[in-house]
Amino acid sequence: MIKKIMICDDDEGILDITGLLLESFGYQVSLEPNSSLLIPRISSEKPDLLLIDIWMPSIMGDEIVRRLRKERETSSLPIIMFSASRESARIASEVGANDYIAKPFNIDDLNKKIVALG
Amino acid sequence: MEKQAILAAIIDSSEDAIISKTIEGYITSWNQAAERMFGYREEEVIGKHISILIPKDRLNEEDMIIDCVRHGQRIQHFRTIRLRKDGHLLPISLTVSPVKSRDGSIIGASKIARDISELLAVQEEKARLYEQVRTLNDKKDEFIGLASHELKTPLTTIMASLQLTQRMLPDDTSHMIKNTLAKTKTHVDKLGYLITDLLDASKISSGEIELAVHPFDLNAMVTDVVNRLQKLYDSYTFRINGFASNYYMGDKTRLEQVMLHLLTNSIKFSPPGSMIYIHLSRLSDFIKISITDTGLGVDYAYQKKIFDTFFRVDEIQKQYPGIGIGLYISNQIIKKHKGTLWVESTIGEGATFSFTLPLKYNV
Repeated sequence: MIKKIMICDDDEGILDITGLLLESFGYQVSLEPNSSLLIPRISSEKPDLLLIDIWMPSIMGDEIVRRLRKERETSSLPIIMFSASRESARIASEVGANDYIAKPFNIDDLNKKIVALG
Repeated sequence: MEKQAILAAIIDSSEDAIISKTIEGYITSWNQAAERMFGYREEEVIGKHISILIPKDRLNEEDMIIDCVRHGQRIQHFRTIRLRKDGHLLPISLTVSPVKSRDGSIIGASKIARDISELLAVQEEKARLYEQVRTLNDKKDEFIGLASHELKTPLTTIMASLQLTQRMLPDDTSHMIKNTLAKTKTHVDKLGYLITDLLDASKISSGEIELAVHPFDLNAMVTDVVNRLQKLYDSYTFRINGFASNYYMGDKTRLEQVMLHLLTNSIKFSPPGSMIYIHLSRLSDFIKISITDTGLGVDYAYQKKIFDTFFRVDEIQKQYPGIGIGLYISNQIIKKHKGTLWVESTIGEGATFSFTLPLKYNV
């Protein structure tokens, strides 16, 4: 059962609204616009799922997922990647994310994917 | 005698330089074209060694040429550079043939040199223009790619805000507000598809499109897309018949995109209230999906062209605006799956768009 979701996206507009949308489904949400601060936050907050953008200025989303998969405590953390370019679906599956959703996304579709990983 | 006079006239009127030399390389004859081409008059060069025409870094070419001539071989259309009297270099195409005496021994060589500077200039210009077009085309694709990616970021926020507003609406919100929001959402969706199409077209033409191949239920995918459209366009009636495959290996999202394009095309060009038929079938080693409408139809003359990028039939552009990349993208996606997409139509009576997909292929 997924309760706590960490969202990481350098676009704060997307970050805020996506957070509010997921809260409206009853999830507890944490937001992180700076990908270089994400891994320590995941270690301390221990979310049930990570929703992460791919193209970010400090550390790219795919690199973060690669690093998380190498660590024992996050190797099986449910991860959904979201991005505006559709070729990112391939990147997501290559680095070992559980799922992928294209931007702009439909919240019901996103929620279905989250529920499926619970 | 007369024959010799004719030959001499031919040689003098030739546009190509015609020169003869001894086997040791000393010039024995020199025509008018040679004068024009190399800048030496006949009396200046007769008896001189041919190397006066050869740039220093190419002197070894003469050894190679003489060697061939000694062995009775001919050199044809040899592209090289020669030196004019004024020091300028001249690109030429050279043909050298051995000259034999009556007893058959080789006593010299005849050289025909053609000035190819104009030809080379044209070739260079062509290559430059080709490179320019290629660069511009790459830049165009890169620009569309970047622009559509940038457009999607605010669109994602708009889309998410709209969905949030819809979810936050109190139960007693007026029908009008709910409807307005729903309509806005439909148009934002359309904008999203349009931007995705642009991005796809740029990726496809730059060869970057890649398939994410997984097994999926093709029948269910088609039914799902049709049901979604039926809800949005309730004045049309969609009828599905037949079965294709419940286990197909391919890119589900991309094939959904093809179905959406073909079906929305049918809707766009058919009058409200009409029927749209979706026929699924499975043959021994491939599946076939056809979409038939009773709309405008496609003129025979355009039945191949409509799959080209940005192609639009002029006369219908005003009435049915669009950017003309949907069929191009669909065709490329089907091709990537090693299938074929085509249309059969009689103008005014509707159209049938069909595609086949092989059941086994290597991506």
